[in-house]
Amino acid sequence: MNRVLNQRLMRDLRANFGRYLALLFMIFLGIYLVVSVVGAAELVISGTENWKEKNNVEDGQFATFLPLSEKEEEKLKADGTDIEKMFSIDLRAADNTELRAFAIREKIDLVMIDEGALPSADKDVVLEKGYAREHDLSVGDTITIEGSAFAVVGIGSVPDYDQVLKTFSSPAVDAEAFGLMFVTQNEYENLTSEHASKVETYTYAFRLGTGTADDLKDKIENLTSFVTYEDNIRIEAAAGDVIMDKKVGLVAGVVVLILFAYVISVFVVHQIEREQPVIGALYALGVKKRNLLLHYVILPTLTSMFAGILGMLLAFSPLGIGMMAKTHYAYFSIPQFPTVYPPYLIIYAVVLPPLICALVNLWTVNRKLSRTALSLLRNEQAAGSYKQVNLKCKRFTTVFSIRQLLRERRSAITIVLGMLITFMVIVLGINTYVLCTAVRDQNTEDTKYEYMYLYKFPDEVAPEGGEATFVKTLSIDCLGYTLDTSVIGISGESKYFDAKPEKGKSRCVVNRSLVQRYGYKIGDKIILSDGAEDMDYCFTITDISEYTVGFKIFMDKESMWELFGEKEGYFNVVYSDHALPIDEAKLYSVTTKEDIKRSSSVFLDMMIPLTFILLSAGAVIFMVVMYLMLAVMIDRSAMGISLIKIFGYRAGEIRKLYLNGNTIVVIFGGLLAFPLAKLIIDMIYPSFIANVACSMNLSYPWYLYLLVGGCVLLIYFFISSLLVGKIKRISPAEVLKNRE
Amino acid sequence: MYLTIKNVKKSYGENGSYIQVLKGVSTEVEKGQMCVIQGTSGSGKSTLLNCIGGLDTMDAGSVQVEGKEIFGLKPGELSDYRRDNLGFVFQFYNLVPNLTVKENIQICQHIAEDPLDMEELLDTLGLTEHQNKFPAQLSGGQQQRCAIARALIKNPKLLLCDEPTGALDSSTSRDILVLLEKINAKYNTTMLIVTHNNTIKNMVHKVILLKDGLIKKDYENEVRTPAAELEDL
Repeated sequence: MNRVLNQRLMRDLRANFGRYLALLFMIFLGIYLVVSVVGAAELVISGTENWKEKNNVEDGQFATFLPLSEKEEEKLKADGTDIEKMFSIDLRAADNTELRAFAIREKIDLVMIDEGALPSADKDVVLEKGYAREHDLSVGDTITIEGSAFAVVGIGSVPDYDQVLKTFSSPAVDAEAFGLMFVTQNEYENLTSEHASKVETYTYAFRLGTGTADDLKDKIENLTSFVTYEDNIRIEAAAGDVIMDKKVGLVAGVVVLILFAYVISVFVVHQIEREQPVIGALYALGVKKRNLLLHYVILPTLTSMFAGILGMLLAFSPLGIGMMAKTHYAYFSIPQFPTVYPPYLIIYAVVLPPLICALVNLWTVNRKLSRTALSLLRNEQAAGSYKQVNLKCKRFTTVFSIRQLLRERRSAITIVLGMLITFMVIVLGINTYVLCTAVRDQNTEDTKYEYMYLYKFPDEVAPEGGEATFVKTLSIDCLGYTLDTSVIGISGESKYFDAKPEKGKSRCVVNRSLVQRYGYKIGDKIILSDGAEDMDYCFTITDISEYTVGFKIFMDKESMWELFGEKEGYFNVVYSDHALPIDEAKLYSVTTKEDIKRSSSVFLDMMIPLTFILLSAGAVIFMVVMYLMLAVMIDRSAMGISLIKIFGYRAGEIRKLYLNGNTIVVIFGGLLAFPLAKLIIDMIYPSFIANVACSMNLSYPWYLYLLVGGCVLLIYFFISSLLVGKIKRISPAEVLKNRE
Repeated sequence: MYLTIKNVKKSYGENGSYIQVLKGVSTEVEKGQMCVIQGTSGSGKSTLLNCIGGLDTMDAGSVQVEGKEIFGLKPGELSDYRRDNLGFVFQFYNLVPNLTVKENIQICQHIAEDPLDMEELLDTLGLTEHQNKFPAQLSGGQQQRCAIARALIKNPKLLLCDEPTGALDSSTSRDILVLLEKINAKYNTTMLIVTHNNTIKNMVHKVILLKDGLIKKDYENEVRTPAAELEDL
């Protein structure tokens, strides 16, 4: 029986070609985007995993105030632990950018060369790939560093800096201003002696033997920092960053597929309603329900499967995963990883679209086919759903529009659901834009100082013209990430921070970024950790500062000295509104307001393409779903439209009766769906930026709401105008051929 | 003369499947007359009605209603012609299923310049107690009465009925015909009734018999049988 019935599948496809093409395109687009995003994430995750193994990534690293003696090193290696010096010195290139110089590693965190070779002679240098790209440097070029010319012999990356952050508390990667360089051991020693006034950092990487990290830590003297592999935000940052892409991509794909499956089911139900008498006749002739069920579901299911396969094929091409991975390569310093083909993703793309489509359609179609042969033959209209609603309104056009909406409630609900999903995608895009813009603008606005001097060897007396503060870096754990939080000691009025902390070792003022991200209130407790000392600190929040740059808490300076065991008058950071004559040898680093501004803009530059993709995808989904649903509403009303044409209704009046009611759906749908979408996305948004210590201002200016509303109405009226043509094409004679 | 039809021709299809349905039909109907167009299936009676109603285009000929020619009118002008002059009643009622009886009638009331009184019409057609019901809750006869009320609310000058009793049993058919007769008398509405039923011709003023696209007979009844007395419906 089905073989006979299925002979008309191609005819159905031809008759509704535009509709099926639109659905094919939507599912294709959905699967293409999901597989591209998730596939790129898998590429980074599995690539990082292999890279880690191949290049001997560290189990952790520690820094000491002075280099370890050979004896001390031997003591640490006693349990089989491998230790390698990762000493570094920050140098200036001719364009005033900063390069952190390392000697070539031999055992741990080996350099992965993308292009060229490792340095073999003095004045040979391997540059970190992000810096090289930003400065348009390639193998064979020359770079001037601290007045000396170096030949670029290689471009590469290292696993302990896949996120090239200058410090653990740097808000973002800024490859334009900071990078890494690798030279021979001999050249490194030349550099440290030539630039003895610069601070050398004594960092050691380790790979554990039989002991634990805690055992190792206990054995180290003059320790200044101790960071395990898991807590190091520079390591595996790319893989950590894409985990959320993977989860969100997979879930969003299912949601969008359900929406499209429901859109398809509206068409199938419409087709069944048109063919009721035929179905009744087939039932009367002995055809089973399951035969018809299969018949009506097979075309949409095959369309979905075909669309899924096409989407997957394009996603696995350089135009999909390859393109999507570019955004990761642009921010993180990782080698070029090969594309992977996870079986679950292939199953997701090939099986899920037809499966969801079949299930949703079987569920909706089953009810339509569950009527008796006689009822179908008589083409009986279900009055039950109408008679529930008794309208008191006297105005005919209003009554008609409401009745029409009630009749087309399935399509109307699909439109509202489509709007919700569309708005979620759009809100995600706008949130990203708003957040990045706010970070850039607020960071610039809130940074009142021009220079921040971070001391390695603090003076006894603060330099004149500077505000000396005691800053301690602790960390906060949230959503699986450990993020640096600076504790800043203030006494009296600060010129640069608007915080007034109370006296007390357990009292603090938190900044607005922490409040926005974690919802702290005055009176709450905040727990911060010191990884090096293995200590947790609990503070009671007494006030909130509007300062938004990174995560900061403010304490009374005297209470802070007491808490962290520093002598009175101790400071390690000086803020100033002008340059101060401080000996460079005493400093770790100097950060200018310009540095803050530039690094704050990195997010916005990086996220604009993503914002554009999200807004475009949202608009396309909105237009297609809206068009298909409004078109099916008109198809379902063809008899009615034909009838009132016979009575002499004019085009404008028909439009008023059959299309204007949808304006109410769109307006109310928008008023309901947009705030709901905003609420949902705002709730889950912190997880998208869980690895970034920044403020999270997601509030929209009022005009943005008007802009979104205006765009929605514009798209709706554009689609309505397209549909007027469809109404015009319905002939008055239509009603004479069939009966409703 | 209220309605003048001259040499109307209409064909469908092309090349091999070409068929001429009306081969030159001419007739006239006076104001207030009830007229039956009768013929077997395929004789062209419904096509003629559709041409008069402006639902279908003619290949050639002329249809004039109160002297106004409708041949060659544009779709918008045809729409205005139907709006200002015509009422339609169909064999299968064609009620809008999700509107109540009253709301279905309001469809035409809404576009009428001088509509009849709704309550009076509901009463005349015996629909007052059913006015808030939906079509699916009505019998066939009640649905057809609703369709007639919908056509009449505009107070049309010409009522076109295509097999108005075709889907009804004998008793209900008689009721509907009695109703049409009553309306004709009350509102002086000119009516064209297409039917294949041989009995209905006895109640009307004028009979047009079509065969193979041509008028075979065209005459006026000297004696009319009241609808209530019609047999073998």
